[in-house]
Amino acid sequence: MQLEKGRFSSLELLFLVAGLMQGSIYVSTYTFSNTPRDEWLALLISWSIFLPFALMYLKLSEKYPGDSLVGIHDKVYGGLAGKILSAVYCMYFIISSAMNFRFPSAFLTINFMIATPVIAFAFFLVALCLFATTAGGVETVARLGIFNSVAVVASLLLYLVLLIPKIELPHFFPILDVPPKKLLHSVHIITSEYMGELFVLSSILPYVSDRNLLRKNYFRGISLGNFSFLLVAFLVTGVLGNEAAIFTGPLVETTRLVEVMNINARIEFVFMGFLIITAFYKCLILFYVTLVSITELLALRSYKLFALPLSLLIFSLVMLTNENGPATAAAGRNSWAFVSLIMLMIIPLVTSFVSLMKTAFRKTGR
Amino acid sequence: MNNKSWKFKNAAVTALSALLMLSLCGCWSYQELNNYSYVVGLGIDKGSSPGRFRIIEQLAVPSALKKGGGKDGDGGGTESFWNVESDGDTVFATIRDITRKVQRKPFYGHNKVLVFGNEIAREGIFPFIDFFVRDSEPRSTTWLVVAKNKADEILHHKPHLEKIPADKIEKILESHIYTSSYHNIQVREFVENMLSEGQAAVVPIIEIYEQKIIPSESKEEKGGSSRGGDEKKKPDTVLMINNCAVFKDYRMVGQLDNIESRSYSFVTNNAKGGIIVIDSPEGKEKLDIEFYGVKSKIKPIIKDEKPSISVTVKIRCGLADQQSKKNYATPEKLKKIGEKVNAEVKKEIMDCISKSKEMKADIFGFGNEIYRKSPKTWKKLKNNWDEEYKKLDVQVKVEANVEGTATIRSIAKPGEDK
Amino acid sequence: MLFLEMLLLIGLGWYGIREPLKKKWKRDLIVFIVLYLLAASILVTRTAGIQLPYLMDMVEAFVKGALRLSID
Repeated sequence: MQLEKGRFSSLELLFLVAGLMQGSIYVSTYTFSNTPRDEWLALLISWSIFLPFALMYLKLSEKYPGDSLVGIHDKVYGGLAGKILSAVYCMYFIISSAMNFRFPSAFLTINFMIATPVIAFAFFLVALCLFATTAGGVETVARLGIFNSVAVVASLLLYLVLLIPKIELPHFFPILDVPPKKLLHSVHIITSEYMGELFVLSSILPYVSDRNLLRKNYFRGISLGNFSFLLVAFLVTGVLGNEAAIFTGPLVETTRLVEVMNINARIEFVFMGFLIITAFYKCLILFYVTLVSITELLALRSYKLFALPLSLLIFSLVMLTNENGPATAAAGRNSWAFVSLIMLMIIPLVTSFVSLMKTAFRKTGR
Repeated sequence: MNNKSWKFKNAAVTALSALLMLSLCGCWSYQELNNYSYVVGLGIDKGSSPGRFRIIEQLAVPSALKKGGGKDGDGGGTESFWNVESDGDTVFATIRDITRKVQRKPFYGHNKVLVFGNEIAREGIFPFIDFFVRDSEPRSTTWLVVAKNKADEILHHKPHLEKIPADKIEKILESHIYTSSYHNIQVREFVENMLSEGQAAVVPIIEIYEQKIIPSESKEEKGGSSRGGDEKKKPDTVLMINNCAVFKDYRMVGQLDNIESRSYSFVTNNAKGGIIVIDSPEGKEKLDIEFYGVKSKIKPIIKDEKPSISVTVKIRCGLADQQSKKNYATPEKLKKIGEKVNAEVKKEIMDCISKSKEMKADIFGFGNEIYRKSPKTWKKLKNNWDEEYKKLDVQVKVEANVEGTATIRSIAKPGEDK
Repeated sequence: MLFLEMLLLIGLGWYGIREPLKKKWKRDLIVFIVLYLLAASILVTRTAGIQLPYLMDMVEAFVKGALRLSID
């Protein structure tokens, strides 16, 4: 079932995919506390583990073109089981959206405006997402990706150039001297939380117009997203080294060390601005996916109608996610990583497997 | 097509709104510039009672800076800086307490220097450093210095050329490139060194140096000048970086003199320029050799799980000044000078290494290099690194390339050059 | 504060409910009202100062329980 007539090109999908991944950059603090020196290694390992899963998400979507996540579950698991699973996913998306709306808001208040309540920024983010989805729909969401990705990569490259004098290559050595448990933990977080979130795009892929280039641009988008992560890892490790483990925001701390002509300008705010925009973009995608999933699950007529109650629900849940920053970080590192692993990797794997079995049984005529 | 352009317009409007949202937030929690006082220097000394310490905040006085005042004497309101002090048990509480004396909230984003008193440095500065790393306002690019006596004296000392003592300290630290006889260090680098296992840090020591004034014997002075010449001349004092403190585990454990500090800069690739004084090849006079390019490499060698270090220092230099009348502008003589420089620098570096071994302070980061080369070997050594460092075999090789004798060969008259 | 919030919520709710009411979309109307009431009640409860359980605490309890079950 398709809820809207809007379509977007596979090139826009490229930036949408990259934007969704780049939205996790500010959460990269979770892994720097484990692997301050070997973040790049954890990223490469995660990338290699995740690629088959990315292909699996795509294949599922290609097998059921025109169907979003709810439709796929209905067809694979049948009526009731599919609906229950879709309902679980809707709940997951709502909680994930609330967490993702909280992250940039809390980030801003901790680093820049301590006296400002978190809910003030969350309000603006939610209101903007509400506007984007009701006024534009999926085409607006997709078209924002270009602004977002280009801005983020450009700002990262700019900071790389400005921080070259501060980068020390010895910070990367020795290579491979990291406790396996910590490396595994980082790989777990990156694969399930940063990359696994691409699974949510199953609800958006039906709206891609030129499907012949879909696979190419999908993987190009993943590459662009991973390139951004690698840039961040290189910057943070090169500048801070093992010190990255002690900071709550190692990327912010890195950008604070920029000295242009011996002037200690608050130049980190430029980058933080783009980081907030990319965080907003991730929130927007999650918001849209949650909206269309609920609408499809309950067989409602228009998703735009529910943008208001859903935005209000997510806004109210933003303050209910956790009591403080360290608790959020602990949850993100531990319990949420397991939940994401189950929801975004294990269940889709099972879904693919069941779908394959069903096709095989149908072919053999049983 | 119309629909597409409308959707694109929506996307652009949303992107613009997201960008504008950032500036809108700027009105929230805003503070006017004149509601802040700007801290340009901070000093920490021992307090008046046991267990307490004193914080001295040096605030810039913008109006005096603008008027060009503050250089000469206490003009009662024309000073370009104002030092405010407070005693306390913890850094942040003491700093906040200062707002009871200063009508504006201090802003630490422009703090240039952090001066620790000598006593505090010996006891350990860990309790004081956390605030400067944890809080988002103070920058971790603040320079760190240790006062020879009290930080209070340093921050009260009126500079000659600059308007604010903190500015002067910053400029002195930045001019290390002319002598390399001290290593300027920021809070970030200091903390990084302290976080590295086995590593020690080197922090410059600043003192008030008294320049002796020899009374003038001019007629005007003898006769009594129209200015009222029986005034006693006060000794002229200047702020000076002299020696460096060695910190281990956030505590000052020893000092390096200027030559040792320069050797430290050579080995750690921080030497940018300076003068090496050597004896001439004949051994009778002194030669000033200016070095302007130093590259060093520390190479750990692990043989049978026993580490040793090879340090290679390459120096680009030239003859800058001589007392001798000899002409050194020949390849053979320059080679001899190069050999002398090699020997002198090598001796200085070995002396510095010996001193650091006595202090059991690995200031050069040899432990880190061993760790990078062979983590397994380091794991065996790290628990007893103080003793292992004392036994560590360090080979130093200096390669000085004397490139020339500047613009002249010899100042001697023709015929005097032998 | 609470009174203002409730006024605002009622106003927003009324604005949002007009369309399904006009078009007589029963299912949409019910879902809208349920979701909206859920969201509004959470907001009002928090403004009234009543402490609600944190989401992540519940997630953590669920994960720990599930892990214990799978180990057992």
